[in-house]
Amino acid sequence: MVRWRQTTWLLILLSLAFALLLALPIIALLARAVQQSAISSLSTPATLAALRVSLLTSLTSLGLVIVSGTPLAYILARWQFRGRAWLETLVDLPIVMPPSVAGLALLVAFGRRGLIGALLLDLGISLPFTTAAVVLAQVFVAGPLYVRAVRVGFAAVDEQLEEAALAEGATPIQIFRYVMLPAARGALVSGAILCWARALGEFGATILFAGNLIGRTQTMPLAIYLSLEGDISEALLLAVLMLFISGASLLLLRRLEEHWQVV
Amino acid sequence: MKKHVLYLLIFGLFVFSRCSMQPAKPEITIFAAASLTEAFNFLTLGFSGQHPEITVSISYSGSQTLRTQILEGAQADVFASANLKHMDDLIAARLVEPDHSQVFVTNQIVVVLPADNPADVRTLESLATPGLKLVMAAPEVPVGSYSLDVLSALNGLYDPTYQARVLANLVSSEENVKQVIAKVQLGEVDAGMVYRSDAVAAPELIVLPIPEEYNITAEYAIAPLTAAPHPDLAEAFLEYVLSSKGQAILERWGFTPVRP
Repeated sequence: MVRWRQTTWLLILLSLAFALLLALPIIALLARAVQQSAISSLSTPATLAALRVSLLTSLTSLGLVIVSGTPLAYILARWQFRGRAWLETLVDLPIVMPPSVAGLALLVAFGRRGLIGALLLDLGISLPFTTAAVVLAQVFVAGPLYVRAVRVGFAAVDEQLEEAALAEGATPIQIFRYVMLPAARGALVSGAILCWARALGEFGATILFAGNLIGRTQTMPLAIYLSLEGDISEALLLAVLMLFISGASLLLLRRLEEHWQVV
Repeated sequence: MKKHVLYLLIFGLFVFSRCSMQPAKPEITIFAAASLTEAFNFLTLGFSGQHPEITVSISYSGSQTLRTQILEGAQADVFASANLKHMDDLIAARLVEPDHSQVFVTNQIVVVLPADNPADVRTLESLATPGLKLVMAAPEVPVGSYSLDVLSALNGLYDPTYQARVLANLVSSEENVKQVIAKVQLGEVDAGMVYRSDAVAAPELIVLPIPEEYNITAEYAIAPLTAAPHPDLAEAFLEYVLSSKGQAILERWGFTPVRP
């Protein structure tokens, strides 16, 4: 009994230390923002521009990821082929890659001296320092989170459902549309929210590959970083705004997960 | 069994804290503007030659970043800023004694181009050619605000729309001068505005000088911090920077010494 109690306290103590480490910076951020009360800086043109660029690029990225990531997730979940494990690793790699490495990799691939970038330049396309570069960085960094979630969701769908539909004469597209998508909708939605939140928070790859220009490539995280150097109250306010967006998307995610599990 | 793990953990923490509390040699921490990178790396070699008992560690970043870090409580002994404004902010916050700050070198702005000059820039006027890709530091960064001053002075050489036309070609406002240099070195942009000293440190780039009468003088200030953990070491480092040896090293890296 005594031993059990000791272990319990140890567990509680260690968990508390960890939870506190996570909570303290967030509490400090909120407290400091309230203290400096700089609501006025929310309406500065630069802040509004950053918010606009952030929303535009993260939603575009999400759209692109859903369109090409869903089929990829399906193939990874269902098809057996040589090199599948390699493909899976490739898709997971950006999740563990430092964003600065991702940014440098994108630059040497799509920069105008880059592997593909030099060819694109001949066609008159130059990606670095454009809004498209921001989107590309977000797709590269955040897309794999979606593919991973959806792949797991597809893999969990009973194969007999598909076989039954096939026996009934359904086409592959009908099976995908009417069997797989509804059965894995929970994974699709949570994957999409995770991907969007990550895209919204993207910083390292963006500043390296897309640069930083107000109204074109400066997203919220970049604006926070750069306003730190001038006006800290503006940085604090932007940070709190980002915190609320991230928190809200996580809450939404939990709600949806509960909802899909009940249905 | 679990107890052993806990003891091990506590022991590990103890060893770790000992390590960070008692370095083998006294260590001096210097926060220096990014543009000082090469010069201060060399300077440190010379300083260590004279003071082998001292370990020097330098954190390079945009002066405005370092200023914010110091204001938020970062521990350092010496601050070397690329302008007087960020030093004045620290003086106002009583983190630097007003009479301890001094100008130790000056610098100027130049335009740098990639070695193969992809946009075929010949004169400063070509910077306004539509479609050219220009990179500068953000206005909060000392070199960024100096660059803006130079462009507006050049309005007098060309025409009143010059600065606006050049700024229309701006593709990125970087966080420090080394990021500007990197973008030019990678060949991703056609031109960048940096300090003369940065151009010295990147000899492969083409340098387009700016006439004296349109250029600025960037005054670099250095000071010990009032909360310096090692005020005596800070004093020794400052002395070396202002010595003829220190000034000669800075001059070799493209800075103008204040003590000829």
